[in-house]
Amino acid sequence: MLPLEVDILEAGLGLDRFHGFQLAKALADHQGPRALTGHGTLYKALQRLEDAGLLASRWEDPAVAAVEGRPRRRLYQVTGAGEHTLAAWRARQGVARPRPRLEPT
Amino acid sequence: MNLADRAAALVSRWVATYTRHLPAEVAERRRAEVASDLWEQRAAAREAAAPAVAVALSILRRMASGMPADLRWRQGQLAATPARSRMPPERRLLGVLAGNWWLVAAGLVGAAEVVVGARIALGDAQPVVGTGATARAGTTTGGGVLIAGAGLLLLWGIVWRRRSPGPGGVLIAAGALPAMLLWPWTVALAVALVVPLELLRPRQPGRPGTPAPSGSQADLARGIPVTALPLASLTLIGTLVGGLPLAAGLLLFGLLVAYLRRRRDHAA
Repeated sequence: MLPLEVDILEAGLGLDRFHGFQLAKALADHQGPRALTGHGTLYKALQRLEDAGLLASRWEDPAVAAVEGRPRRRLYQVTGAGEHTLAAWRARQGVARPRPRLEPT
Repeated sequence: MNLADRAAALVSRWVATYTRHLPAEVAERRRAEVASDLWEQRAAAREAAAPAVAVALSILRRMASGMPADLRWRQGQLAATPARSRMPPERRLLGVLAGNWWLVAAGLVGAAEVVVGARIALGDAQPVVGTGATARAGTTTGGGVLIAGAGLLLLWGIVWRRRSPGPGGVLIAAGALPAMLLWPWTVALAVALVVPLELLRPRQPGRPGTPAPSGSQADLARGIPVTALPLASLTLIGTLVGGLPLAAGLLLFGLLVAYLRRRRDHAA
């Protein structure tokens, strides 16, 4: 797995759902004073992980977005396969990396 | 509209650009996801009272740093999507019609045969368009049935061709015979149009059984319209005075098409 993919799984693990910008912000905060991940890089990685079955995603209820007056969010969730893959990766690396923390929205 | 909004609008335009001609569902998902991201970033910046310039620069930097991934993603989507499904529905329909134009023409011929044959069979004595002949009640009933039957055979051939192209093609050809007898110029016109278009149709590289047309085939394809179209027009118009300008026009058109095709082939 690529470092970004590992970071995404670590950030998303244990959470119910997260969206793209929330993830980008968590990754930037986790890695110190660093710029947000590029749109193309981030969403391509998310789709790659989803295609591999490590993430699942769905659009949120449009009514929720309408009430809050914002565009719909695409909500992601780490799957069981994603969790296993990350655990296997950690075992191979032999290090426990700190997880990026996601802030509630 | 502040600087951050302008930067977001620029990103939206970029997303619209690199998602063009992708399947609607794929393109819409990416556009909606980036639109949501842009909104969230600006909302977070407003909450943190971040300066608009800094937010705009951050948005533009994210766009620029993601561009290579965007382009690779697009390439991947294009490679995974058949060319036809990338077209909008109206263009897809036109593409289907353009790819099967001769079947559409054959369908019209078949329908015309059914109508003309039925009118003759029912004793509705009318001059048959373009033939100068008059169908007489009682004496041509059998012929009318035959023509209408041929039309139905042709239409059935079009349907059957989807399952069995060979036998379906034979049915179409057999069904078209009465039309060729009624309107002889259609033979020349059909040869003039079908043969060159089929021979010069771009072949898919590497596809078995579809070699590029050889030089002699291409010459044949260009020669047929040059000779057959003026002949067909003369037959159709029926007079030398009226036919000559049309024949000359068709001849020039054929030469122009041949010239343009040759230029395109050289450019390719």
